[in-house]
Amino acid sequence: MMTRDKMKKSFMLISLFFVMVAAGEIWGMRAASAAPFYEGKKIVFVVNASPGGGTDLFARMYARFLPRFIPGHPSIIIENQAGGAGVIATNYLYNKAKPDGLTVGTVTNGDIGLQMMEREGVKYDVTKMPIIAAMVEVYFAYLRSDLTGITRPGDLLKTNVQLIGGVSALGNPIANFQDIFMSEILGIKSFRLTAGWKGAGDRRIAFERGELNFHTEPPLMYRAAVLPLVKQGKVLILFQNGIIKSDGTIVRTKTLQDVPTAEEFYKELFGRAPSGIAWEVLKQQIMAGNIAKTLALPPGTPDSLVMELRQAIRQLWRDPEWLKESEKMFGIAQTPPDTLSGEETQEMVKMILNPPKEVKEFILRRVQSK
Amino acid sequence: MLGVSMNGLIQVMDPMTFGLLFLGTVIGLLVGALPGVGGRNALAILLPYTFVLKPATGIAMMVGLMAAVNTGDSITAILFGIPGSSGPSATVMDGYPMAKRGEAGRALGAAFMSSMIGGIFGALVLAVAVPVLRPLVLTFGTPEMFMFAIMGISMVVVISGKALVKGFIAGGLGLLLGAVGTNPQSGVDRWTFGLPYLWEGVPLVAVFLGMWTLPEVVEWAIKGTSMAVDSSGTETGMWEGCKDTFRNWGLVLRCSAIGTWIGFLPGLGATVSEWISYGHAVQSSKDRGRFGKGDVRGVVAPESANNAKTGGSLIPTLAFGVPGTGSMALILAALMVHGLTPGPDMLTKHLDFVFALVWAVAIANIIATGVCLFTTRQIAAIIRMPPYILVPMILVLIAVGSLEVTNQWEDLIFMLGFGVLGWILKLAKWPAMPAMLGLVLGPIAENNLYLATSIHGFSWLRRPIVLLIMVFILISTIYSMQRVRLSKRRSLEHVHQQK
Repeated sequence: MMTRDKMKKSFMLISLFFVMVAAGEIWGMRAASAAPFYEGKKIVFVVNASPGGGTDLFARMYARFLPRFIPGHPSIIIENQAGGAGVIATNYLYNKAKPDGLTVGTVTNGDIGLQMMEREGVKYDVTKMPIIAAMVEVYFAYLRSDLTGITRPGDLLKTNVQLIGGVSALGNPIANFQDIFMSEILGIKSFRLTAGWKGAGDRRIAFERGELNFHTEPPLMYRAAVLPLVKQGKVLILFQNGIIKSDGTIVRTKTLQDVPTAEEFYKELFGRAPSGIAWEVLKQQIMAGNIAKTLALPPGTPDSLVMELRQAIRQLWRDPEWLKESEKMFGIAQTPPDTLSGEETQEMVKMILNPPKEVKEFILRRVQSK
Repeated sequence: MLGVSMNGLIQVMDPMTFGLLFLGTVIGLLVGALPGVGGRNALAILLPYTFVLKPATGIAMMVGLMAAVNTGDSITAILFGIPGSSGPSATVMDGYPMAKRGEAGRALGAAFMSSMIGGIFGALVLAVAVPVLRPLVLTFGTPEMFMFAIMGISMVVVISGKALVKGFIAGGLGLLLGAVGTNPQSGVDRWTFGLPYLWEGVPLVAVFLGMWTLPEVVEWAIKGTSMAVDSSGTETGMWEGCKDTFRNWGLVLRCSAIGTWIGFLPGLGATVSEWISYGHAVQSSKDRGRFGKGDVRGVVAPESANNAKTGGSLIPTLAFGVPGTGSMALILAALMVHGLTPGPDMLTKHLDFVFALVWAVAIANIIATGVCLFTTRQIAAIIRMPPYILVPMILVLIAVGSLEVTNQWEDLIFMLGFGVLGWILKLAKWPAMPAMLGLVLGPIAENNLYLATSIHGFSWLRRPIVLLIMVFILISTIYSMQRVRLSKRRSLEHVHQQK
């Protein structure tokens, strides 16, 4: 028989044990809540393109730098889901991926454009996806002055020579920008775009070969390939689309400081600022061209996590190594003022996808007429 | 020039660089041999590591990997009829029948040795052609690209053998399949049935694995016997294969030249170079009866061409900053991060670096072949395994390989669907390969035809190189058809005489 004392003693021991366990639990929970959410976690970047392309390199660049700046230093892995012009992966991100802050996807301006065109098969709404980062892309245009006889910007308005440019597909913001600016706003009747080119590089070779005499591309090869041609008297650089700010002003990108924006180019030629519906459409296309690639999360991802990731990106901008490498890789340093924050991008996406009625009608009419 | 070249060699022979080049080459072999991993996936994973290395070291590793993938994928092509991830490999046409006949060792030996010679040839041309690289690339416009694609398609005549009509119909079917997707010029969807999955066309690798490889595996599973009919020569024929390469040295050099040439032209890809070389091998042979049934020349020709292509394809990347493939795009990214911007300067200011890459390609090819020859016995012995082990293993490889591009269920559905079609074609004794050729080359031809016509009108038809290729295609097609007719008549006469 157990004595009363013994029972009391064991009861106390058991209670003490439970108290200790409970205390341990509470302490542990405290410790857990003090630990950053991303500690020991793995973030998956779903890339909606195959390895090696611009979108893939953009995601890989962020995947390499970002973990250092997210509290808890999670690991980031890349998962490529190509196909369907990126729509398959974006559909997945919007509808199937868990909004737990552990899946991030690339959403491009191609995806935004397809949503605007109400393309069958698009099952996402980019305005509802929290965007944490964007890669700003700027394009500049130049032509073969030796083949066309155009040696000054003013000659452009008088020329009868057939100007042939190239794009990968008609209807994307870059194609629309060239087409609307050259044909509609500058009123050059002899300007024409050919579609079906694989990439900007293939088009530059065709340009050097003389098959194309007008070319538009990002500033990556500006110094190495284009300036030497200017020196040889073969090329005249015309304009860049520029970076459009949320207040509607358009500025030159740092890499192309000497190249006027389309707006400045127009002013120089006509002595007044451009205006009218075509110009409104063009501004919208510049905006769409600028936010070339974004990192977005599934809708419903907790705000706290979105904020945490955006904060990490703001810190990333201050990293000198990031500044240097992103400039080398993309031709434009991906820090302000040459890039946009997640919040700014989000606002712009809303503006692009909810344009004034006449702007939308203008674009649809142009695409359908092609 | 010699001094600069030696400078390049010294850079590659630095112990760290050489060690990583070796590592890259071995990874390339493994990745090449395993369908579904894909060279560019491996390169994408390696990319960040190269940023912390010296440029020559990091990029030599990547180039080594890329060069070795072409050697590695001939292993699965020969043993199981599984093509590389780039498209239908011409090596399966004869390499796989050789393995079935029990000559896997010989086929592998020939493939490895000709790969090495092709690879070194490509590197050599790259080195010699440095001063004329840029003008050379600029000679070829969209009309010429179109004609090269047509030349590839015209090989349908060569590979159809006596079943010419069936070959044409299958080729036509392939061209139709190649037309599926969103047309870039008009934005019109062709036969996409509202599925974004089909916007970029039918999934090449899944279709190929389904239409060609799956029926082979199924047939083999039904038979239930070991794959090779007679496996006595499986492990021993390796040196015979190496000797075969040297016996056909003229062919090897010509096909290496074709491979390098096609590599120069961004956008044409491995498929065109392999099939044009294969066609050349068939047409230049007096006794062509064994092609398609296991002729070693059918292995030697495409293998030397596809490795030679690596050297060639570095040219547009280095001289213009234009990557022909996803793999090249990753190498370009590595160059950019190291501040080595491709373009005219690359061939003047950074010439020693260009030569370091040339040496890296050549050395990677030698390492790859060395490693492969050393292990050929073990590799070839795989096909002695009983079917109940091998068949499921290969089915897994086929499934994973199909998923490579989009990671979607649709990939598997397509693979299986085309597997059924491939099985029907096989039962009806229709050749599947012309369909694959049409599927891959159709879109390249269509796009370049559109661009050529919209830029030049019809005046492109008068361009000298276009005319030259046209004449070549006509002669080779008529000649091939004539030979088929003659051999049919002969066999008929033979039957009559016997009666």
